[in-house]
Amino acid sequence: MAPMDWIHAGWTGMTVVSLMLAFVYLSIWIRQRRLGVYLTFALCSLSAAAIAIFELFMMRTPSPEVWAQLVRWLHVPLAALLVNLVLFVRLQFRASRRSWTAPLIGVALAVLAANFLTGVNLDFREVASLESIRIWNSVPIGVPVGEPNPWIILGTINALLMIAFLIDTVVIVRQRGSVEERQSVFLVCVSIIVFLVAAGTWELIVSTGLIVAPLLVAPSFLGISLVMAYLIGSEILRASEMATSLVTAEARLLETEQQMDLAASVSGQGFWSWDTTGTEPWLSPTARFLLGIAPDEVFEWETYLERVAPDDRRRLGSAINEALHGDGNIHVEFRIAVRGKDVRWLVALGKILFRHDHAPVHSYGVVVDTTERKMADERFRLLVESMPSAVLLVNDSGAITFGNKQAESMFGYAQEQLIGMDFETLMPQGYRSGHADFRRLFAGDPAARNIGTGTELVAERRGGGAIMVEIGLTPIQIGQDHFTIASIADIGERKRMEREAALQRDELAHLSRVASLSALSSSLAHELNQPLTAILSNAQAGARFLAHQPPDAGEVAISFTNIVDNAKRAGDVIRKLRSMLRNDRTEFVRLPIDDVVREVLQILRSDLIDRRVEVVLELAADLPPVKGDRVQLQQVLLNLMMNATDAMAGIAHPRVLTVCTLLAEHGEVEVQVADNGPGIPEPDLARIFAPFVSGKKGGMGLGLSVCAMLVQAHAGMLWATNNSAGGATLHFRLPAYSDALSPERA
Amino acid sequence: MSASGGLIVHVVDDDDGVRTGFTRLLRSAGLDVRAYSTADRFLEEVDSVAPGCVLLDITMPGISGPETLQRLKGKRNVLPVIVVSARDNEAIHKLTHEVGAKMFLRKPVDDQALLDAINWVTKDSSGA
Repeated sequence: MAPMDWIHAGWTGMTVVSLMLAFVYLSIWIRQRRLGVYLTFALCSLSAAAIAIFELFMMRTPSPEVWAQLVRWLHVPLAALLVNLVLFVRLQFRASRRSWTAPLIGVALAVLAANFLTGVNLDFREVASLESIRIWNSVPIGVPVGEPNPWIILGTINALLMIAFLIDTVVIVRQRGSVEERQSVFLVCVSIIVFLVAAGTWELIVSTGLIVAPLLVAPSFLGISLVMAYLIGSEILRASEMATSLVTAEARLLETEQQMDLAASVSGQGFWSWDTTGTEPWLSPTARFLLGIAPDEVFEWETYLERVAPDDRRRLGSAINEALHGDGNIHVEFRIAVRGKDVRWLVALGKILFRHDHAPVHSYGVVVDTTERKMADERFRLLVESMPSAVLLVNDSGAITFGNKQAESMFGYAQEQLIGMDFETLMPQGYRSGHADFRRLFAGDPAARNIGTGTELVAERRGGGAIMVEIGLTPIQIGQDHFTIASIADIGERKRMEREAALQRDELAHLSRVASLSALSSSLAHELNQPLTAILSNAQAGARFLAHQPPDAGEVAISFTNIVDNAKRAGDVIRKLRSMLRNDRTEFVRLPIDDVVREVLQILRSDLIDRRVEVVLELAADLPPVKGDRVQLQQVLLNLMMNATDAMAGIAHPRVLTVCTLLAEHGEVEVQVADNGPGIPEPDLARIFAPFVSGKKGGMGLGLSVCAMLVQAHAGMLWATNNSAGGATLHFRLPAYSDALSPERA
Repeated sequence: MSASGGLIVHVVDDDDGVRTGFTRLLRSAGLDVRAYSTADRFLEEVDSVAPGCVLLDITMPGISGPETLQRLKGKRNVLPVIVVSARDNEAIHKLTHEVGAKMFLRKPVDDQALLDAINWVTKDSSGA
């Protein structure tokens, strides 16, 4: 087989090279349609391949007519080549002015038109013959001989226009582009210019017959091919470098992400980041966990929203809306149902970044699990709500910041209304101004205390109704702020019961008095009898004096006076009796205890005589008065003395009742009622004051328990001792009179 | 010698009003009266020679002492005792008996009853 000569080899080679380039660029374009520039160069290369094939046939054909036709059709891929070159440069470098496009395409089309319409082709009017030459021992090559076509000048103009365009491109890019770009634009445009110059000049020379040589374009294109190949190589290199650095960057980013997420997951926080141009937000693994989204699950807003608690969906939506239209800050709390578990409380905190026209560009933020705290809050709230007293939280300027359900029902204001209300609004009008001072005092010495115990503290409900209350105050500190917790109990019921109990006590005391006085009825009758006797005797004496001759008026007058005095005496006895029998309300007055002792002895006088009891009185001088109810203290002494007398009932020796009053410690007044009876057995000394304990046969045993109750009501003490000389003493002590509201023990 | 045949009535009562009342009543009836506020006083001060009687309130403090009772009883031999009292019960009757009284009158006392009683107890002594 004959070896291929270099012409065949060369042109085949060039065809192959062009086709390869075309293939490479085409395959890139097919995968990345966006990059139209690759298509243009692929078309260039294809055209060049076509041209090379045409030229090979041109050189080898012996027929001038065939040669002429081949050239004629050669101009089509040539035009395609030139147009695509222009487009390629434009797309690749984006540096030309629009004004180039039209003329360039126009001229190219004109060239094509001239090619087909004038002469046999653009270069030759007609081809006379083909000479055969050999170049470097090649096969014979056809060389045209003929008349040049003047229209070839259009081709030249086309070339020149293109050169101008290319130079312009280079200039523009060199002004603005990077080093790489400048290098590549220079290479590309220069190589095209070289091609144009070389091919154009050769075309001219051959067509005008200056040199007898084949018409060749393809070799010039080789330069461009080489440049393009070089550029492709550079790009591949660059892409590879970028890929490497991208992989490194991604790896670093992942590492950073992981670290952040680790830190975040420890604190129960997840991160999210959403580029609004993308469809899906980035969620850190913790964020996915918190939101209940699987690691590989695609995030979808609707599905996610369905798991948010219905009540919170609107809140979530409006929070985001507000952020979108406002300052971009997101802060919202909501509940989300997590697969298989119950509800979780989350807080989302984030920021939206805006473009200058306030369109959202990017958002990012944190989502935190606050379930624990919410549960704790919830527990606290339930605890406070369940308390039977009203609970109010008051800040240091006296405004209520929280009220529980009980407060709502006690005061008649809804919980929402209570917030922000002044505490003083809950007090009756008259106390309000004073309370501000009290608050200041309290703030100065904050300590837990109860107020209102033992006093009549009144609060006011909505509408003006009064409530009797007792308030417990506890100062607390939340962060830097000071608050007071007020726990308010409605003691109206309790007060009512206390009052009822007091009434019942009074009733009991009264009945006891009546019982005592019934027992004393005979001695009381005796007390009345004395003045009656005196009245009778005086009246009868007066009658007799009147019957004297002459009537003794003076004696009559004296008799009347005596009658009046004795009637008054009788009246006093009756009055005393009535006051003891009345069931008056307890009235504490300033009372000298000696007076009470003497009054009682007067009542008992005849009874004591009757029972042959001698009375010994030892009343201390200058005793301070006590605060007491006269009738009740009389009752106590009456009871004690009667008990003492009863104790002495069975003894043979002379009965002595000793009554002493003395000053005891702490300025209190002590009264002692002593008998010389058998005394009280030791174990009974305390028991005798219990109700229904009686030493007497048939006795009810209420007397001493009533005494104990009365003495207690006077803030006093009652107790019994045995005397060394025999007999028992009953003591009671009362505090001295003071101006306190009610008797209080020191 | 007294205006009313020499009789002296000794009123022994601790109650001022009663004592005064009796005294005036008896004086209005023309009797001679001495009044004593306690039994002891009476025992010390009484002049036992003159005839008369004793009007004794038995419901007085100190009267129930046995010594006093003995002494009063002794006096009775010379002066008859009329006991007066507002109370009227077994204990009183016992005391009345112990003191050797001739009569018991209940307060308030009617004047005629009192005068009759005085007449009756003294008729033995005033008479022969």
